[in-house]
Amino acid sequence: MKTIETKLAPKFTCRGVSVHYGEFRALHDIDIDIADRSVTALIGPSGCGKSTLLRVFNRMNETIPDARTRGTVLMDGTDIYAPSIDPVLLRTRVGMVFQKPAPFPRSVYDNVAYGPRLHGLAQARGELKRLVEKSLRRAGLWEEVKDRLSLPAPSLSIGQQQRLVLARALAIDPDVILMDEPASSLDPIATARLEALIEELKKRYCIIIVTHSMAQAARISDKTAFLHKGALIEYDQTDRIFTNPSDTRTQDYITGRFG
Amino acid sequence: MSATETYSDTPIKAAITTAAMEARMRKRRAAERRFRVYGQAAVAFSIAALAWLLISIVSTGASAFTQHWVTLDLTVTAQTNASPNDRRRLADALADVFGEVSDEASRRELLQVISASVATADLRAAQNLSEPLQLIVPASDLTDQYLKGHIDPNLPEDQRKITNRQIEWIAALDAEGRVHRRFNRGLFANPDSRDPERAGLASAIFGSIMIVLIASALALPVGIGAAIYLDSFAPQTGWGGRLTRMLEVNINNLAAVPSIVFGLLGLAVFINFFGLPRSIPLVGGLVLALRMFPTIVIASRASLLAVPVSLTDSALSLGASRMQAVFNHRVPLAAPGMMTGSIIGMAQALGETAPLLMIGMVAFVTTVPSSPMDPATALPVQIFLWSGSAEAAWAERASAAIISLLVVLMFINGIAIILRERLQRRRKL
Repeated sequence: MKTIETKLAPKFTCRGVSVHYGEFRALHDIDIDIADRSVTALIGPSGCGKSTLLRVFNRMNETIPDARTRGTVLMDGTDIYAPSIDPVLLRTRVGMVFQKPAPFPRSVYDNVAYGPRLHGLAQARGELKRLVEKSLRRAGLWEEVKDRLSLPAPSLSIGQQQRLVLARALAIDPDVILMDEPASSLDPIATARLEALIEELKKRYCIIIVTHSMAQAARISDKTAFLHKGALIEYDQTDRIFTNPSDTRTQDYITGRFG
Repeated sequence: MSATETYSDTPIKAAITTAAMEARMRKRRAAERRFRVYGQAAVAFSIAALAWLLISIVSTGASAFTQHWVTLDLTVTAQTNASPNDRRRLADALADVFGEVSDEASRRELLQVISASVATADLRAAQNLSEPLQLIVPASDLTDQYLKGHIDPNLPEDQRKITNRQIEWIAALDAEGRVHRRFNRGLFANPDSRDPERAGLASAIFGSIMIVLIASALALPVGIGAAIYLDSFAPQTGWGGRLTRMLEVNINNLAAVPSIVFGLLGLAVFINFFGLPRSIPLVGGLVLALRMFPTIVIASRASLLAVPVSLTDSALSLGASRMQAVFNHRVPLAAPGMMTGSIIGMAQALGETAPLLMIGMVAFVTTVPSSPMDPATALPVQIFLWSGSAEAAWAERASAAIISLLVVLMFINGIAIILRERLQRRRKL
């Protein structure tokens, strides 16, 4: 597989990354570089390992009891799987939005304030309030909830909940945002909002998104990686993947012949 | 059936309904109807059984919550006072009221009308008074049962416990307005006694409270802690995982162990090995803590498993530590379920009898315990003791004790429901 040239130093550098769940090999020997301030899409059929790969970047695979990760993952040149790295601290740098929004059964405000409170990010009075507002504004939710901050978060619509958990992830000021099929439970209007938001957010953050929608990957991502059966088949500029893929399996997948 | 008629009445339906389909539909509807009837029958049967139980207990026991008392005006003369025998002195003093009773048999008959043990004690305490003495004493269990209508006076004299003479005496007292029916405070304030009219539940109530408090204080933190550990922290893979699963299976098995086995264990460990005395609430509490423990672990485990993993994952992805994720999000959502499990455990402990028999809490205790190291009984054991006695008054009291136990259980369950509702409302915000 050919190495991708990037102008900037990559945010993540993966070399020989494999993940096993017990006996099952979910990812096999992945080499990939992820650029900062861009959107990288991971596509592939169900069970291809794209979610597993996403969870490599914030070590969330470790919360699955019998998952083992091998290989090197460098973030800004630092090995995030080194013994000296605490995954708890890593996750403050690498935020994540899950497939189904899981707002805490608390108020909208408390949801966004949870991370900052955990890490003591707001010391002075009023600072937390400003941080919550800033995060909600970045997630494009402020105008809709500014009068309802004390309402229980689960009472929001699914689209609003997805932006709320995004705001919650933004509140701890990460460098990277991982998104695992964030639009799968959203209607087309909410999806369009989310995509516009991603477009906006990539100016500040490194965004890695897993998606089942090839149209979505084509619309929002700068680079696309196609995974199949735990292997990285092809990784290139998005327009090249969708117009002129070099591997026939990629071709088959994006033209809908399988997956 | 009307539904079938509307089906076949509609032309469109008729067009797409074949006879075979219609027959299958009829079968399905009949099956559903049958199941409904079974369900209703089951519910009706359980309600009837419960009603029968409650009605029989309440009809037997309700009258025990009141008791007859007799007011007696006595004159203690010097001559009476000189008598060496307490019972004789009382009979003599009662002569004022009932007329002269000379022979021993009649004296015994007379002293069966009032609570002789209370009256002799009162008289002894007051013996130096020269002025007329008023005694207010409980009626004997015999008088009490007769006045409550539990003894039929129309039976021939030799077929009932109360004699004609005793009935006359009681009638005379009643005519003078000396008999009063009052709320039976003694049922709750007195410890156990040989005389039914003096026996109460105080020892059993205090014993039960101490047992349940000790058992809860031990089993709740340990049980809930174990459940949280097994759920979120114990190793899940490799040898550690095998050990965890083995532990869980064994805790589940522990819940199915007959409770008398826990009594045997308590007898062997706490009494024989550690040398703690028998019949004390401390040992009862220790034994019942072991009994409650698996119930609490299982209920807490189940309610923890019902919390979506996505919440813990979200918290972890925000940089919470495992401990923070579990205690900020998993445990609070599981708390109502844990609470329910704990209350079920407490109610179970309150009603547990067999293990308490094994550790000697079946003793006849005539003192109210003031510490967990004093001999005591427990409510279910007291019921067991009283229901074994022959007199009608004991049956009445045993039923009253059952009512008291049920009221306490309902009270505890009520608290549980209120707490759970409040917690759930707070979770929903």
